[in-house]
Amino acid sequence: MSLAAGASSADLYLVLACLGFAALIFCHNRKAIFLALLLATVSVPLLKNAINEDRPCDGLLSCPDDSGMPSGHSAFAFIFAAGSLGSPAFWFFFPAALIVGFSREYWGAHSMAQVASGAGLGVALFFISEELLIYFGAIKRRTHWRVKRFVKKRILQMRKAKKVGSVVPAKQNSKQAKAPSVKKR
Amino acid sequence: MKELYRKLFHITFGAVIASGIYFLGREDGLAALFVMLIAGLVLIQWKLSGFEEKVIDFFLSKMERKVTIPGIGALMFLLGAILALSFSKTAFFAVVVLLVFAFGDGASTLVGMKGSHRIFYNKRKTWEGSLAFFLTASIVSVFFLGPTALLLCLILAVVESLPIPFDDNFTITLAGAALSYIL
Repeated sequence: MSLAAGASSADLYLVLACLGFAALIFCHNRKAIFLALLLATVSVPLLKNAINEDRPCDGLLSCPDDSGMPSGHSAFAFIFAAGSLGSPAFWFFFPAALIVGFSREYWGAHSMAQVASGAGLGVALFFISEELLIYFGAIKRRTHWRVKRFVKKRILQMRKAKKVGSVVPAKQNSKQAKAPSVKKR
Repeated sequence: MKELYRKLFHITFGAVIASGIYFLGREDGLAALFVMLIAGLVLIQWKLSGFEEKVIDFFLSKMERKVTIPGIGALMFLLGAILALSFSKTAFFAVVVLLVFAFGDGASTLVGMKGSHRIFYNKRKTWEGSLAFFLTASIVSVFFLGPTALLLCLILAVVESLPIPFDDNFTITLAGAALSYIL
């Protein structure tokens, strides 16, 4: 068995473990990511069997035995990319997903169409699992981290304004502060 | 008015993608959709990070519903197209499914908003909307598939009216792809 063919089964778990560990630390919607991974684990082999499309197998001494459509590697990698959408972690997961996808095509384990199909399936599975979790009340609708930060900032500003306003209104306070300096002159 | 612009864009985008796939074929079509998916994800990320671009902002202000992820509607349509093309038996059938979805869904929303007869199993949809889906999609697809198109449109109109929690971009395209093995 060639290096690439041997790696195709082993490196999936290694890449998944690394990405999963990083996702645990950085991503804010872990539940949806893990449900999507679970759905992909079930659906990818089923779809491979149903579609039964051959791998290109150019550039490898021996190919993996199963069918090629869709690419499981790119499906799993793009789940993480979609899961990190809206957070700074996207700039780590997205290039990682692209590298995983294009490496499968470069090695000849998948055609570009199979990689594209896997990527589309991965992103779709993430959004499906997010919708499922929202429907069953497991998570609330996703709010983007920048929106959250903005809302927090506004709430803090309002609280500060209320505290100041309870003693002396903000405009009056500034006038009083300026007034003594005028008198002194 | 926003919904009208939104659905006109939906129909145009669908027709452009379907004709692109028709001319490019399955392999090149999927590769082109993959490039669009990559560009879409990067644009959404930029937009979420505060990036401002006049043309994109104009389209979003005119068409996007109040959602937390800007441009999610277009991304969902793109994902639907990838799923339809990947899992349909032939690229030709995927093109027909995309046309049915683009025209049918657009018409059903525009007509359904004015409708008053609610469907008993889904109170958010109306009979008028489902009928508009069936009629519009049949007119478009009958030129490609013949009488089989009527059955395809009827089943997809029923799928569109079901109270499924997923986005209809996924349900209709996946149902269409599954029907390509039966019809």
